[in-house]
Amino acid sequence: MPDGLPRTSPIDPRADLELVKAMQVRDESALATLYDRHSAPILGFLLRLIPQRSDAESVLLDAFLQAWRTAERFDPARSEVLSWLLMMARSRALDSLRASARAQTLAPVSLDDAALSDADQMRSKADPEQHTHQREQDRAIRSALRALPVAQRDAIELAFYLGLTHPEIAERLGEPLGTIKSRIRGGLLKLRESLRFHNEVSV
Amino acid sequence: MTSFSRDELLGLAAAYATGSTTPDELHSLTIAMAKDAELRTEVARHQEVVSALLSAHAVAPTDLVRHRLLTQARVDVHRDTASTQVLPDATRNATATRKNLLARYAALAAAAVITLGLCAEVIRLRERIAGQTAFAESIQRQLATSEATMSRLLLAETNLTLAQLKTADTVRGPGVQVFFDRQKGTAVVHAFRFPEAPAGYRYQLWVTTIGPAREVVRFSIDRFGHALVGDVMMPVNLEKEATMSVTVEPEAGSAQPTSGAVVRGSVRGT
Repeated sequence: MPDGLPRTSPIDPRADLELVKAMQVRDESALATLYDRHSAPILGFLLRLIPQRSDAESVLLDAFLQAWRTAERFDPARSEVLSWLLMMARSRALDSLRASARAQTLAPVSLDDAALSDADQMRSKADPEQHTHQREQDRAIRSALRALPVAQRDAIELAFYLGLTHPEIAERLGEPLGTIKSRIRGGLLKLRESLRFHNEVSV
Repeated sequence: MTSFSRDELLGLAAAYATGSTTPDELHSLTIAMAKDAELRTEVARHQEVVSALLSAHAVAPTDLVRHRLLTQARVDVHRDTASTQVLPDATRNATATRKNLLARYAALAAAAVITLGLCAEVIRLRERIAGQTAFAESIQRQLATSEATMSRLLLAETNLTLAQLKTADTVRGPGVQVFFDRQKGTAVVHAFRFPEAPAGYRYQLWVTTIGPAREVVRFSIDRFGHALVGDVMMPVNLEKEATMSVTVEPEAGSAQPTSGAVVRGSVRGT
Protein backbone atom coordinates (compact mmCIF):
# COMPACT_ATOMS: atom_id res chain seq x y z
CA MET A 1 0.00 0.00 0.00
CA PRO A 2 1.65 3.22 -1.10
CA ASP A 3 0.86 5.39 1.92
CA GLY A 4 1.61 2.83 4.62
CA LEU A 5 -1.60 3.38 6.58
CA PRO A 6 -3.65 0.26 7.21
CA ARG A 7 -7.16 -0.07 5.85
CA THR A 8 -9.00 0.10 9.10
CA SER A 9 -12.64 0.38 8.19
CA PRO A 10 -13.73 -3.26 8.57
CA ILE A 11 -12.50 -3.42 12.16
CA ASP A 12 -12.45 0.19 13.29
CA PRO A 13 -15.36 0.43 15.72
CA ARG A 14 -15.52 4.22 15.65
CA ALA A 15 -18.77 5.65 14.34
CA ASP A 16 -18.71 8.20 11.55
CA LEU A 17 -19.32 11.07 13.93
CA GLU A 18 -16.37 10.06 16.12
CA LEU A 19 -14.18 9.91 13.03
CA VAL A 20 -15.14 13.44 12.03
CA LYS A 21 -14.42 14.65 15.58
CA ALA A 22 -11.00 12.98 15.37
CA MET A 23 -10.40 14.68 12.02
CA GLN A 24 -11.06 18.01 13.70
CA VAL A 25 -7.91 17.42 15.78
CA ARG A 26 -5.96 16.29 12.70
CA ASP A 27 -6.14 12.50 13.16
CA GLU A 28 -5.08 11.16 9.76
CA SER A 29 -6.12 7.60 10.62
CA ALA A 30 -9.69 8.84 11.11
CA LEU A 31 -9.64 10.32 7.62
CA ALA A 32 -8.28 7.03 6.27
CA THR A 33 -11.07 5.07 7.95
CA LEU A 34 -13.80 7.43 6.79
CA TYR A 35 -12.40 7.23 3.26
CA ASP A 36 -12.22 3.42 3.30
CA ARG A 37 -15.78 3.26 4.58
CA HIS A 38 -17.46 5.65 2.18
CA SER A 39 -15.25 6.23 -0.88
CA ALA A 40 -16.71 3.37 -2.94
CA PRO A 41 -20.39 4.32 -2.55
CA ILE A 42 -19.54 7.97 -3.20
CA LEU A 43 -17.47 7.13 -6.28
CA GLY A 44 -20.38 5.03 -7.54
CA PHE A 45 -22.61 8.05 -6.96
CA LEU A 46 -20.18 10.37 -8.79
CA LEU A 47 -19.89 8.03 -11.76
CA ARG A 48 -23.62 8.49 -12.39
CA LEU A 49 -22.87 12.21 -12.85
CA ILE A 50 -19.38 12.08 -14.39
CA PRO A 51 -18.96 8.97 -16.51
CA GLN A 52 -15.20 9.58 -17.07
CA ARG A 53 -13.67 7.61 -14.21
CA SER A 54 -10.49 9.68 -13.87
CA ASP A 55 -12.56 12.87 -13.53
CA ALA A 56 -14.88 11.24 -11.01
CA GLU A 57 -11.89 10.10 -8.93
CA SER A 58 -10.50 13.65 -8.96
CA VAL A 59 -13.78 14.93 -7.62
CA LEU A 60 -13.79 12.17 -4.99
CA LEU A 61 -10.33 13.28 -3.86
CA ASP A 62 -11.39 16.94 -3.75
CA ALA A 63 -14.49 16.09 -1.72
CA PHE A 64 -12.56 14.13 0.92
CA LEU A 65 -9.90 16.86 1.08
CA GLN A 66 -12.65 19.37 1.67
CA ALA A 67 -14.05 17.15 4.42
CA TRP A 68 -10.59 16.97 6.03
CA ARG A 69 -10.06 20.72 5.85
CA THR A 70 -13.53 21.75 6.98
CA ALA A 71 -14.20 18.97 9.52
CA GLU A 72 -14.49 21.51 12.33
CA ARG A 73 -17.50 23.03 10.57
CA PHE A 74 -19.45 19.77 10.46
CA ASP A 75 -22.71 20.10 12.37
CA PRO A 76 -24.25 16.74 13.37
CA ALA A 77 -27.57 18.48 14.00
CA ARG A 78 -27.87 19.37 10.31
CA SER A 79 -26.92 16.13 8.60
CA GLU A 80 -25.43 12.69 8.90
CA VAL A 81 -21.78 12.30 7.99
CA LEU A 82 -22.56 10.41 4.78
CA SER A 83 -25.05 13.08 3.70
CA TRP A 84 -22.41 15.73 4.40
CA LEU A 85 -19.86 13.88 2.28
CA LEU A 86 -22.38 13.39 -0.50
CA MET A 87 -23.31 17.04 -0.47
CA MET A 88 -19.66 18.05 -0.93
CA ALA A 89 -19.10 15.41 -3.60
CA ARG A 90 -22.17 16.50 -5.54
CA SER A 91 -21.22 20.16 -5.27
CA ARG A 92 -17.67 19.47 -6.49
CA ALA A 93 -19.00 17.32 -9.32
CA LEU A 94 -21.34 20.05 -10.51
CA ASP A 95 -18.46 22.58 -10.34
CA SER A 96 -16.34 20.23 -12.38
CA LEU A 97 -19.06 19.73 -14.98
CA ARG A 98 -19.66 23.46 -15.23
CA ALA A 99 -15.92 24.04 -15.65
CA SER A 100 -15.81 21.60 -18.52
CA ALA A 101 -18.84 23.30 -20.13
CA ARG A 102 -20.93 20.18 -19.96
CA ALA A 103 -23.51 21.62 -17.60
CA GLN A 104 -25.86 22.52 -20.42
CA THR A 105 -26.30 18.88 -21.30
CA LEU A 106 -26.13 17.70 -17.71
CA ALA A 107 -28.26 14.67 -17.05
CA PRO A 108 -27.58 11.92 -14.56
CA VAL A 109 -26.91 8.43 -15.78
CA SER A 110 -29.90 6.29 -14.90
CA LEU A 111 -29.97 4.76 -11.46
CA ASP A 112 -30.49 1.24 -12.68
CA ASP A 113 -27.89 0.89 -15.43
CA ALA A 114 -24.62 0.70 -13.54
CA ALA A 115 -22.46 -2.38 -13.58
CA LEU A 116 -22.11 -4.33 -10.37
CA SER A 117 -18.63 -5.62 -11.03
CA ASP A 118 -16.60 -3.24 -8.85
CA ALA A 119 -18.90 -3.37 -5.89
CA ASP A 120 -19.05 -7.12 -6.24
CA GLN A 121 -15.30 -7.60 -6.33
CA MET A 122 -14.74 -5.30 -3.40
CA ARG A 123 -17.21 -7.08 -1.18
CA SER A 124 -16.30 -10.60 -2.17
CA LYS A 125 -12.75 -9.92 -0.99
CA ALA A 126 -13.91 -8.46 2.32
CA ASP A 127 -16.50 -11.03 3.43
CA PRO A 128 -17.87 -13.73 1.10
CA GLU A 129 -21.04 -14.38 3.14
CA GLN A 130 -21.86 -10.73 3.50
CA HIS A 131 -21.02 -10.39 -0.18
CA THR A 132 -23.65 -12.90 -1.23
CA HIS A 133 -26.29 -11.20 0.90
CA GLN A 134 -25.34 -7.77 -0.36
CA ARG A 135 -25.39 -8.98 -3.94
CA GLU A 136 -28.95 -10.17 -3.55
CA GLN A 137 -29.81 -6.87 -1.91
CA ASP A 138 -28.26 -4.96 -4.83
CA ARG A 139 -30.27 -7.00 -7.29
CA ALA A 140 -33.40 -6.28 -5.30
CA ILE A 141 -32.68 -2.56 -5.40
CA ARG A 142 -32.15 -2.63 -9.15
CA SER A 143 -35.25 -4.63 -9.68
CA ALA A 144 -37.23 -2.23 -7.50
CA LEU A 145 -35.83 0.72 -9.44
CA ARG A 146 -36.83 -0.80 -12.75
CA ALA A 147 -40.31 -1.37 -11.42
CA LEU A 148 -40.81 2.32 -10.61
CA PRO A 149 -42.82 4.38 -13.09
CA VAL A 150 -40.48 6.45 -15.29
CA ALA A 151 -41.89 9.74 -13.98
CA GLN A 152 -41.11 8.75 -10.39
CA ARG A 153 -37.64 7.54 -11.26
CA ASP A 154 -36.81 10.73 -13.21
CA ALA A 155 -37.84 12.90 -10.28
CA ILE A 156 -35.77 10.84 -7.81
CA GLU A 157 -32.75 10.96 -10.08
CA LEU A 158 -32.89 14.73 -10.42
CA ALA A 159 -33.19 15.12 -6.65
CA PHE A 160 -30.64 12.49 -5.68
CA TYR A 161 -27.90 13.04 -8.24
CA LEU A 162 -28.23 16.69 -9.19
CA GLY A 163 -29.44 17.85 -5.78
CA LEU A 164 -32.19 19.90 -7.43
CA THR A 165 -34.80 21.23 -5.04
CA HIS A 166 -38.41 20.25 -5.53
CA PRO A 167 -39.32 23.61 -7.13
CA GLU A 168 -36.35 23.27 -9.52
CA ILE A 169 -37.41 19.75 -10.50
CA ALA A 170 -40.97 20.95 -11.05
CA GLU A 171 -39.69 23.69 -13.33
CA ARG A 172 -37.40 21.38 -15.26
CA LEU A 173 -40.05 18.72 -15.79
CA GLY A 174 -42.85 21.23 -16.31
CA GLU A 175 -45.01 19.67 -13.60
CA PRO A 176 -46.79 21.14 -10.56
CA LEU A 177 -44.72 21.26 -7.36
CA GLY A 178 -47.17 19.08 -5.45
CA THR A 179 -46.92 16.37 -8.10
CA ILE A 180 -43.13 16.33 -7.84
CA LYS A 181 -43.22 16.07 -4.06
CA SER A 182 -45.63 13.15 -4.23
CA ARG A 183 -43.59 11.39 -6.90
CA ILE A 184 -40.35 11.55 -4.94
CA ARG A 185 -41.86 10.59 -1.64
CA GLY A 186 -43.97 7.85 -3.25
CA GLY A 187 -40.98 6.52 -5.18
CA LEU A 188 -38.77 6.30 -2.11
CA LEU A 189 -41.53 4.60 -0.13
CA LYS A 190 -42.06 2.06 -2.91
CA LEU A 191 -38.35 1.31 -2.98
CA ARG A 192 -38.38 0.88 0.76
CA GLU A 193 -41.34 -1.47 0.62
CA SER A 194 -39.67 -3.53 -2.10
CA LEU A 195 -36.51 -3.81 -0.05
CA ARG A 196 -38.43 -4.78 3.07
CA PHE A 197 -40.35 -7.41 1.15
CA HIS A 198 -37.09 -8.76 -0.26
CA ASN A 199 -35.51 -8.93 3.21
CA GLU A 200 -38.51 -10.73 4.70
CA VAL A 201 -38.56 -13.26 1.87
CA SER A 202 -34.81 -13.91 2.03
CA VAL A 203 -34.96 -14.43 5.82
CA MET B 1 -37.83 32.82 6.48
CA THR B 2 -40.72 30.58 5.33
CA SER B 3 -42.62 28.68 8.01
CA PHE B 4 -43.82 25.17 7.26
CA SER B 5 -46.73 23.23 8.66
CA ARG B 6 -46.04 19.84 10.21
CA ASP B 7 -47.54 18.05 7.19
CA GLU B 8 -45.30 20.06 4.90
CA LEU B 9 -42.27 19.14 7.00
CA LEU B 10 -43.19 15.46 6.82
CA GLY B 11 -43.48 15.89 3.06
CA LEU B 12 -40.00 17.40 2.97
CA ALA B 13 -38.41 14.39 4.68
CA ALA B 14 -37.74 12.79 1.29
CA ALA B 15 -36.07 15.95 0.01
CA TYR B 16 -33.91 16.00 3.14
CA ALA B 17 -32.81 12.42 2.58
CA THR B 18 -31.88 13.05 -1.07
CA GLY B 19 -30.08 16.30 -0.16
CA SER B 20 -32.41 18.42 -2.28
CA THR B 21 -33.84 20.87 0.22
CA THR B 22 -33.69 24.64 -0.14
CA PRO B 23 -31.81 26.50 2.64
CA ASP B 24 -35.16 27.57 4.15
CA GLU B 25 -36.46 24.00 4.15
CA LEU B 26 -33.22 22.66 5.62
CA HIS B 27 -33.26 25.20 8.41
CA SER B 28 -36.87 24.46 9.35
CA LEU B 29 -36.37 20.70 9.17
CA THR B 30 -33.25 20.84 11.34
CA ILE B 31 -35.11 22.73 14.07
CA ALA B 32 -38.20 20.54 13.83
CA MET B 33 -36.31 17.24 13.85
CA ALA B 34 -34.65 18.14 17.16
CA LYS B 35 -38.03 17.84 18.90
CA ASP B 36 -40.19 15.67 16.62
CA ALA B 37 -39.51 11.93 16.84
CA GLU B 38 -41.99 11.06 14.09
CA LEU B 39 -40.29 13.44 11.68
CA ARG B 40 -36.92 11.90 12.53
CA THR B 41 -38.34 8.45 11.86
CA GLU B 42 -39.75 9.58 8.52
CA VAL B 43 -36.35 11.03 7.52
CA ALA B 44 -34.58 7.86 8.68
CA ARG B 45 -36.91 5.75 6.51
CA HIS B 46 -35.95 7.69 3.41
CA GLN B 47 -32.27 7.78 4.35
CA GLU B 48 -32.33 4.00 4.58
CA VAL B 49 -33.39 3.82 0.92
CA VAL B 50 -30.80 6.41 -0.12
CA SER B 51 -28.06 4.40 1.64
CA ALA B 52 -29.23 1.24 -0.12
CA LEU B 53 -29.12 3.03 -3.48
CA LEU B 54 -25.58 4.19 -2.79
CA SER B 55 -24.45 0.80 -1.62
CA ALA B 56 -25.84 -0.93 -4.71
CA HIS B 57 -23.74 1.23 -7.00
CA ALA B 58 -20.44 1.24 -5.06
CA VAL B 59 -17.29 1.36 -7.19
CA ALA B 60 -13.89 0.93 -5.51
CA PRO B 61 -11.52 3.81 -6.33
CA THR B 62 -7.90 3.13 -7.31
CA ASP B 63 -5.29 3.06 -4.53
CA LEU B 64 -3.67 6.20 -5.89
CA VAL B 65 -6.63 8.34 -4.84
CA ARG B 66 -6.22 7.16 -1.26
CA HIS B 67 -2.48 7.73 -1.41
CA ARG B 68 -2.89 11.26 -2.72
CA LEU B 69 -5.54 12.10 -0.14
CA LEU B 70 -3.43 10.93 2.79
CA THR B 71 -0.26 12.54 1.40
CA GLN B 72 -2.05 15.87 1.17
CA ALA B 73 -3.49 15.42 4.67
CA ARG B 74 0.02 14.86 6.01
CA VAL B 75 1.27 17.97 4.24
CA ASP B 76 -1.54 19.94 5.93
CA VAL B 77 -0.66 18.52 9.36
CA HIS B 78 3.04 19.34 8.96
CA ARG B 79 2.25 22.85 7.80
CA ASP B 80 -0.11 23.45 10.73
CA THR B 81 2.43 22.07 13.20
CA ALA B 82 5.23 24.23 11.83
CA SER B 83 3.15 27.39 12.00
CA THR B 84 2.04 26.87 15.61
CA GLN B 85 5.31 25.83 17.24
CA VAL B 86 7.26 29.10 17.30
CA LEU B 87 5.07 31.33 19.44
CA PRO B 88 4.37 28.98 22.40
CA ASP B 89 8.07 28.09 22.70
CA ALA B 90 9.10 31.73 22.75
CA THR B 91 6.42 32.55 25.31
CA ARG B 92 7.46 29.65 27.55
CA ASN B 93 11.13 30.66 27.38
CA ALA B 94 10.36 34.27 28.25
CA THR B 95 8.27 33.21 31.23
CA ALA B 96 10.96 30.85 32.48
CA THR B 97 13.61 33.54 32.19
CA ARG B 98 11.56 36.02 34.18
CA LYS B 99 10.88 33.49 36.89
CA ASN B 100 14.44 32.45 37.46
CA LEU B 101 17.07 35.13 37.37
CA LEU B 102 19.64 32.80 38.88
CA ALA B 103 19.29 30.51 35.97
CA ARG B 104 19.90 33.49 33.73
CA TYR B 105 23.21 34.28 35.45
CA ALA B 106 24.18 30.67 35.24
CA ALA B 107 23.44 30.78 31.58
CA LEU B 108 25.71 33.80 31.17
CA ALA B 109 28.50 31.94 32.94
CA ALA B 110 27.92 28.96 30.74
CA ALA B 111 28.17 31.28 27.74
CA ALA B 112 31.81 31.89 28.62
CA VAL B 113 32.45 28.18 28.42
CA ILE B 114 30.54 27.93 25.21
CA THR B 115 32.75 30.60 23.72
CA LEU B 116 35.56 28.09 23.80
CA GLY B 117 33.57 25.91 21.49
CA LEU B 118 32.93 28.72 19.07
CA CYS B 119 36.14 28.11 17.17
CA ALA B 120 34.94 24.63 16.30
CA GLU B 121 31.58 26.08 15.38
CA VAL B 122 33.26 28.57 13.04
CA ILE B 123 34.89 25.69 11.21
CA ARG B 124 31.57 23.92 10.87
CA LEU B 125 29.94 27.13 9.66
CA ARG B 126 32.58 27.53 6.98
CA GLU B 127 31.76 24.05 5.75
CA ARG B 128 28.08 24.90 5.73
CA ILE B 129 28.76 28.11 3.83
CA ALA B 130 30.62 26.11 1.21
CA GLY B 131 27.58 23.84 0.91
CA GLN B 132 25.25 26.82 0.70
CA THR B 133 27.43 28.38 -1.99
CA ALA B 134 27.13 25.24 -4.08
CA PHE B 135 23.37 25.32 -3.54
CA ALA B 136 23.23 29.00 -4.53
CA GLU B 137 25.16 28.18 -7.70
CA SER B 138 22.65 25.47 -8.57
CA ILE B 139 19.83 27.96 -7.99
CA GLN B 140 21.62 30.43 -10.26
CA ARG B 141 21.77 27.78 -12.96
CA GLN B 142 18.06 27.16 -12.52
CA LEU B 143 17.38 30.88 -12.77
CA ALA B 144 19.41 31.08 -15.96
CA THR B 145 17.29 28.27 -17.42
CA SER B 146 14.14 30.04 -16.31
CA GLU B 147 15.33 33.30 -17.86
CA ALA B 148 16.05 31.56 -21.16
CA THR B 149 12.58 30.04 -21.02
CA MET B 150 11.07 33.43 -20.32
CA SER B 151 12.93 34.89 -23.30
CA ARG B 152 11.50 32.16 -25.52
CA LEU B 153 8.03 32.98 -24.23
CA LEU B 154 8.48 36.70 -24.85
CA LEU B 155 9.71 36.06 -28.39
CA ALA B 156 6.62 33.98 -29.06
CA GLU B 157 4.38 36.58 -27.43
CA THR B 158 1.92 37.18 -30.27
CA ASN B 159 1.52 33.46 -30.94
CA LEU B 160 1.21 32.44 -27.32
CA THR B 161 -1.74 30.71 -25.69
CA LEU B 162 -1.73 30.07 -21.95
CA ALA B 163 -3.56 27.07 -20.51
CA GLN B 164 -3.96 26.93 -16.73
CA LEU B 165 -4.58 23.55 -15.12
CA LYS B 166 -5.68 23.58 -11.51
CA THR B 167 -7.73 21.98 -8.78
CA ALA B 168 -10.69 23.50 -6.98
CA ASP B 169 -8.24 24.65 -4.29
CA THR B 170 -6.44 27.34 -6.28
CA VAL B 171 -4.60 28.69 -3.20
CA ARG B 172 -2.98 25.55 -1.84
CA GLY B 173 -3.53 22.99 -4.57
CA PRO B 174 -1.12 22.12 -7.36
CA GLY B 175 -1.25 23.89 -10.71
CA VAL B 176 0.25 23.77 -14.19
CA GLN B 177 0.73 26.55 -16.72
CA VAL B 178 1.18 25.48 -20.33
CA PHE B 179 2.53 28.24 -22.61
CA PHE B 180 1.70 27.09 -26.11
CA ASP B 181 3.45 28.66 -29.12
CA ARG B 182 0.87 28.23 -31.88
CA GLN B 183 3.31 29.03 -34.66
CA LYS B 184 5.95 26.48 -33.67
CA GLY B 185 3.58 23.96 -32.14
CA THR B 186 5.75 23.79 -29.02
CA ALA B 187 5.03 24.50 -25.39
CA VAL B 188 6.69 25.36 -22.09
CA VAL B 189 5.23 23.48 -19.15
CA HIS B 190 5.46 24.95 -15.66
CA ALA B 191 4.20 22.85 -12.73
CA PHE B 192 4.05 24.04 -9.13
CA ARG B 193 2.89 22.98 -5.62
CA PHE B 194 2.82 19.32 -6.64
CA PRO B 195 3.04 16.65 -3.93
CA GLU B 196 5.81 14.11 -4.31
CA ALA B 197 4.74 11.25 -6.58
CA PRO B 198 4.88 7.74 -5.05
CA ALA B 199 8.11 5.79 -5.60
CA GLY B 200 8.22 4.41 -9.14
CA TYR B 201 5.71 6.99 -10.46
CA ARG B 202 5.96 10.27 -12.36
CA TYR B 203 3.51 12.87 -13.51
CA GLN B 204 2.24 12.71 -17.08
CA LEU B 205 0.59 15.60 -18.97
CA TRP B 206 -2.20 14.76 -21.42
CA VAL B 207 -4.16 16.62 -24.06
CA THR B 208 -7.54 15.48 -25.34
CA THR B 209 -9.33 16.96 -28.35
CA ILE B 210 -11.43 14.32 -30.04
CA GLY B 211 -10.87 10.67 -29.19
CA PRO B 212 -8.39 9.29 -26.67
CA ALA B 213 -5.97 11.37 -24.59
CA ARG B 214 -2.51 12.02 -26.09
CA GLU B 215 0.65 12.25 -24.04
CA VAL B 216 2.33 15.66 -24.02
CA VAL B 217 5.22 15.14 -21.64
CA ARG B 218 6.26 13.28 -18.49
CA PHE B 219 7.90 15.16 -15.66
CA SER B 220 9.29 14.81 -12.15
CA ILE B 221 9.16 17.57 -9.59
CA ASP B 222 12.00 19.02 -7.52
CA ARG B 223 11.96 19.15 -3.72
CA PHE B 224 9.89 22.32 -3.86
CA GLY B 225 7.11 20.58 -5.82
CA HIS B 226 8.14 22.43 -8.96
CA ALA B 227 9.00 21.52 -12.59
CA LEU B 228 9.79 23.54 -15.70
CA VAL B 229 10.00 21.78 -19.05
CA GLY B 230 10.77 23.74 -22.23
CA ASP B 231 10.45 22.98 -25.96
CA VAL B 232 7.75 20.37 -25.55
CA MET B 233 6.26 19.28 -28.88
CA MET B 234 2.47 19.33 -28.74
CA PRO B 235 1.09 16.09 -30.20
CA VAL B 236 -2.06 17.72 -31.58
CA ASN B 237 -3.08 20.91 -33.26
CA LEU B 238 -4.95 23.03 -30.74
CA GLU B 239 -7.19 24.87 -33.15
CA LYS B 240 -10.26 23.48 -31.47
CA GLU B 241 -10.96 23.41 -27.75
CA ALA B 242 -8.92 20.81 -25.93
CA THR B 243 -8.78 19.47 -22.40
CA MET B 244 -5.47 19.05 -20.62
CA SER B 245 -4.82 17.09 -17.45
CA VAL B 246 -2.00 15.67 -15.35
CA THR B 247 -2.14 12.19 -13.86
CA VAL B 248 0.23 10.06 -11.80
CA GLU B 249 1.60 7.22 -13.93
CA PRO B 250 4.27 4.53 -13.65
CA GLU B 251 7.84 5.76 -14.32
CA ALA B 252 7.84 4.39 -17.88
CA GLY B 253 4.63 6.24 -18.72
CA SER B 254 1.21 5.00 -19.77
CA ALA B 255 -0.52 4.89 -23.13
CA GLN B 256 -3.70 6.28 -21.54
CA PRO B 257 -4.42 7.87 -18.13
CA THR B 258 -4.75 5.20 -15.46
CA SER B 259 -5.46 7.43 -12.49
CA GLY B 260 -7.54 10.47 -11.64
CA ALA B 261 -6.42 13.90 -12.83
CA VAL B 262 -4.28 15.80 -10.31
CA VAL B 263 -5.09 19.03 -12.18
CA ARG B 264 -7.02 19.78 -15.33
CA GLY B 265 -8.11 22.65 -17.52
CA SER B 266 -9.18 23.54 -21.01
CA VAL B 267 -7.44 25.49 -23.80
CA ARG B 268 -8.30 26.89 -27.19
CA GLY B 269 -5.33 27.38 -29.49
CA THR B 270 -6.66 30.19 -31.64
